[in-house]
Amino acid sequence: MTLKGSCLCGAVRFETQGTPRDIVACHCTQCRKSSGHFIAATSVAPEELTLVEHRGLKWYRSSSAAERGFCQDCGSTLLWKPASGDRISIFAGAIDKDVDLPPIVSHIFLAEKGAYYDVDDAAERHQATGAKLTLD
Amino acid sequence: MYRCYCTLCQKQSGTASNAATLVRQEAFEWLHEAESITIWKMDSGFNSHFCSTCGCPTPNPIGDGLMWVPMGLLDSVDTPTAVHLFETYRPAWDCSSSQDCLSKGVENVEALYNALANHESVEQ
Repeated sequence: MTLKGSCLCGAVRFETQGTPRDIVACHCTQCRKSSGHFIAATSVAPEELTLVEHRGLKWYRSSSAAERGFCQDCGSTLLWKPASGDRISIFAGAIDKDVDLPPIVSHIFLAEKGAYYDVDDAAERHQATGAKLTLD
Repeated sequence: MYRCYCTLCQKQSGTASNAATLVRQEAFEWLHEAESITIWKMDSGFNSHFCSTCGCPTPNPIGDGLMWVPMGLLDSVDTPTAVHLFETYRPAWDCSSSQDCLSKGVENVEALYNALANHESVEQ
């Protein structure tokens, strides 16, 4: 399955190869601040992600464990890259709508969820998570 | 608060919708000077204000004397979703919350503010 996506202004555009991971929603404080709500992301191996355009891409090291990629021109929230480097998360809102991705399979860091919304779907629920689930 | 599922808000937030509220500008105060905010605007009027360093969306004035405030920045605010906008664009992968919605749309920013303030049911 090939996924394509971009930021709002086009200064970052990407394509993926291979099979993208199912979508995981992360409710941690950092994802809530960077999204303005919470994050939903698929992921691929780094070599499966092609940045067709990257002139706008800026990486922010949000913790010792990871960097967050956003467009420095339009502010779109795009990528999450763990320091281990084995996977790269692609935020689902940036992905073009011509591919129907399957529903969110898991919610992580629900202990840090905002009080203003509920999570009531059938996906797995984790109050926090181990490194494996975060990075796979 | 309200959620907007339009494709612009999806790209800005990285997820299925934004989540935001509106407050009167006189009720809003910067505790630190907002000195590193980048502003990106479309001809349509849509705009994106964000921290130049980390990319987080930031509060910004949206007209009619109102400030737009992303819910994800707020600590421990417990307020229901009063309005869903552009829900026809909601992606199929998002079924994270089927809860409650008092209104499917509003005519303008002032009507949106009133809907959020009063939790009134407003038809699109």
